[in-house]
Amino acid sequence: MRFFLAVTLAVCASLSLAQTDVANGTVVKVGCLYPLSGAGGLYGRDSQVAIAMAQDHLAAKGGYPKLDVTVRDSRSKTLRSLLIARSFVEDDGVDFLCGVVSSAVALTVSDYARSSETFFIGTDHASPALTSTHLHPYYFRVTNGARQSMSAGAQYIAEHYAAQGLLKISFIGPDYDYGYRSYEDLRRFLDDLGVQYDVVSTYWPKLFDTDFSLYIRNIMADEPDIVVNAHWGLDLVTFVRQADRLGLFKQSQFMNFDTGGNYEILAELGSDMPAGLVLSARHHLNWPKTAANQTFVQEFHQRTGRFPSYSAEGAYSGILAIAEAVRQAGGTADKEKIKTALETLSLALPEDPDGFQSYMDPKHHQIMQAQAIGRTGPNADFPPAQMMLTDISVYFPPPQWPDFSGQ
Amino acid sequence: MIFGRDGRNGSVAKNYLFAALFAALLPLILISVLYDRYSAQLIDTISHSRAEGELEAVTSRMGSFLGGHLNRLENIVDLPETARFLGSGQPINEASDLLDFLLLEAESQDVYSIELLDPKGKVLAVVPSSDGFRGDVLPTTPIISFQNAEVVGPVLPADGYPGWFQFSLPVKVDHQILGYAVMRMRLASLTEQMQPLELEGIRTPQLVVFDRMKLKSTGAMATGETILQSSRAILPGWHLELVAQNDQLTSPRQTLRIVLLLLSALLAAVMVLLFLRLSHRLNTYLAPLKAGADAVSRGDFMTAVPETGPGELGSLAKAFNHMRRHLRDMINSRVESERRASLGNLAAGIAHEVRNPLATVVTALYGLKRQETKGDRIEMYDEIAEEIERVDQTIEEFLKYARPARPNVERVAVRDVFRSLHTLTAAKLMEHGVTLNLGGESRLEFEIDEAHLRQILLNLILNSIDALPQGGLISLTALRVGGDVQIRVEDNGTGMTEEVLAKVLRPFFTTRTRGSGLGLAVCAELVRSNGGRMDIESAEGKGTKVTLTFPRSAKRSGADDQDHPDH
Repeated sequence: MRFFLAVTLAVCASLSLAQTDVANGTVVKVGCLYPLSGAGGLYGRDSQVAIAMAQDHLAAKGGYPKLDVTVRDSRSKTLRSLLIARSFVEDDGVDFLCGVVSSAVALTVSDYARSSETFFIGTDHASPALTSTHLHPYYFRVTNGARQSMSAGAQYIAEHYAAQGLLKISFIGPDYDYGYRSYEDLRRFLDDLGVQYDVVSTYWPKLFDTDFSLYIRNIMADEPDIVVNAHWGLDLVTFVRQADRLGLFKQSQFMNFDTGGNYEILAELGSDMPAGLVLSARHHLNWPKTAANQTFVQEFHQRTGRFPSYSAEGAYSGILAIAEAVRQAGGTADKEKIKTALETLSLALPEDPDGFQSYMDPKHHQIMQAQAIGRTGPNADFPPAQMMLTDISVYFPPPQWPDFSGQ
Repeated sequence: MIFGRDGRNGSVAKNYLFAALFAALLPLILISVLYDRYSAQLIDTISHSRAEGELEAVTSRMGSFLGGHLNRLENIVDLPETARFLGSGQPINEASDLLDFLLLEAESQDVYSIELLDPKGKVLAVVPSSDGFRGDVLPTTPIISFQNAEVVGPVLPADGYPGWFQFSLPVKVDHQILGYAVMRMRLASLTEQMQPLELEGIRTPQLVVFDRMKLKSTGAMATGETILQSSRAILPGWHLELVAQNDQLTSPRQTLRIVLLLLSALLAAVMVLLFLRLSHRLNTYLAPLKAGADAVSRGDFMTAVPETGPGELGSLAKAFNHMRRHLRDMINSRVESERRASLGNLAAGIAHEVRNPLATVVTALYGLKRQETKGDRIEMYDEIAEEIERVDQTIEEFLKYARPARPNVERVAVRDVFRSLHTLTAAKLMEHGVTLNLGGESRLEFEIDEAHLRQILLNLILNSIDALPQGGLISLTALRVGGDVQIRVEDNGTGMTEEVLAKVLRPFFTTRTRGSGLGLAVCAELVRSNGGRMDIESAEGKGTKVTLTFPRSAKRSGADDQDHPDH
């Protein structure tokens, strides 16, 4: 009887311990890799702020585990990122890796996450390879990928330009996996939609290049109707400035469906941003005009005195996703439960329009979100940006993430 | 032609024009020649000399780029870990130093990947791990040996992937090949280095591999044709070429040169034509002046020069005409005064030599007549006395004409003179059935010798009565015209032929049997001596109009200082 009582008490104690683990107890360790210095430093710094906002949000809401989040400067370097990831796992014993802006770096980190059986919550990188050919049970992405952007972009072209007849398209993107996938996906979606088009040229300047004039002149010589660009960050800012001066925008319609409408691009270009460019982003400050989005933007502004780049909302989503998954799994001990929780994740995020909630595609571990595409137009509500997206078209995700890897 | 071709001095105007033409053409020709030489040298410079240095610099840079990366691959091959890994036959350890080293080497944006292969070519490790393209080597892909490496490629951009090439080095231990280390390179990183050789719209560089693959700076296929320069080889079979962009270097620039030269020639021709036309126009304005001067030298003062020339030429023509009129008046005045002086002497002689004997004859005749009793003889004496009286009268008129009395100017009311004349001629008018109308400005007054005016008008009225044998109408009108006084005597009588009209003012010209032929001449002289002018218009069968024009204020100098235009 004593033994039975003792066993019963022990079981009860362990059960209650598990509950407290989640409610207030065991700390969930998260190691995030973001560039905090160099060209992409702004993304990391904004992500740090958003991570703190997410932690405060969870604490205020209650019922979520405490997250101990460490952010280290990856400088978007592959080897450095790999070393940091190893250190996070092997020295700090983190439960989750998160972040990573560059897809090339993410592929290496993801490979390590697979081998070390550590969950990797991708936030800002966008290559479809991570959720298809390189997918493994421990990788989940909580921001829209380039494939979703290209799907929405193809729909935008079909809706607004297909009536013109055969379209001459030039594609220019950074010379790495993200660029190649974006181009491949755009063509697939345009083909699926039956758009009549002809690719007159494709160009692959180096990532982090500073002189695009050679390529801009070549594009202008090709005389396309539409230039689809897949650059991001300072590359895109530099490209837009140089293309504007060389007259590309007067000749062809410029489009960037994945990152062009990111606030940091609009802010960096300020009044140099031309009107009429077709752009999109993974998070917009002026869309959707929901209370959640406006609160997120204003709170970020109150904390930093500046408006958030797209990466902030990505990091915010990552922390919420980790907390929600751990809460549902009842702790970090059972990785299968966490995996299941992530695969069936449904989150209300600032970027969700009314009546829609982001959800995880269980097969591909890619979160499914709405995508808004618009044209740049004068709007000084979010200085230093002088142009924001207007005339917005919204594209909701398909029921399943489009996987081309088996084809 | 005004400008004497045979004159020693030629034409000054033409000389000036040709000097101006020369002054305009010389700089044009000089500039054209200098610019043409400059253009030719520029084309030569662009296409040859300067390009050589630039091409050599870029070739060296590209060679250095390739050598540097080959050196990095050699470092990998030399690592003992590489040989150990290839010799082990095991998968690469995620935590191995070799992986870290390979990641570090592959960090460059110019390197797509580093691969380690077994001796049969099977891929054992790829860094960085990427789902990127593998890019198959085609049967047509160039493969060369460079130093101890094998260079495969370039493989051109295709199907949404960029172009690439690779270095492959064997990993050996004791002369036994354990495998291969391969560095897959970004082709555009090599071709982009040609960018400084771009001269937009003029020339473009291209990387040529075995003369069958030609690549632009972007790494895409090139289409250039006209080769301007070739470089030395950067790898066996790989070299650079500078090509004219669609022959834009030579053809359009040469065309531009020719067009510029043609334009210069055209401009010169237009200038010559313009100057010839100017010369011709100047001639047309100056030729009449010369003709006018010739006419004056021949004594023709009546030929006027057209005053339609522009600017100074028009002013010159006006001044010439003014000079001609003035000269004519001066000469006429002088001739007239000389004529009048001799006429005066003649008249004085006649008066002395004829009238005195006539007085004696008349006295004698009177004595004879008193003594005569026979009626027919008395009648004959009367006829002789009458004829002598007529001769005396004629001599009197001749004297008046030759030595007119100086006018005694006073203010005269035209109305009084007209009325007086009407009264004086009333009987004769009635006799001939002629009506005299007085009209015009009744209160008109002006300064003139009243006796002269009466004599002039009386003479004219009597002439008109003579021209109205069947009766008719005479109008006597006084008007103020501008600053002058105009008196018109007009009749609707027989009028005169042009021939008669031309001679009517000559002394002793008369159409009447008993006229002295001095009436109108005397009238004209009296008018002239009162500063006036007499104009006669007449049409045979229709009548005659005599217009007298006097200044309102007396100006007695007569016609000597008048300058009225020619009629």
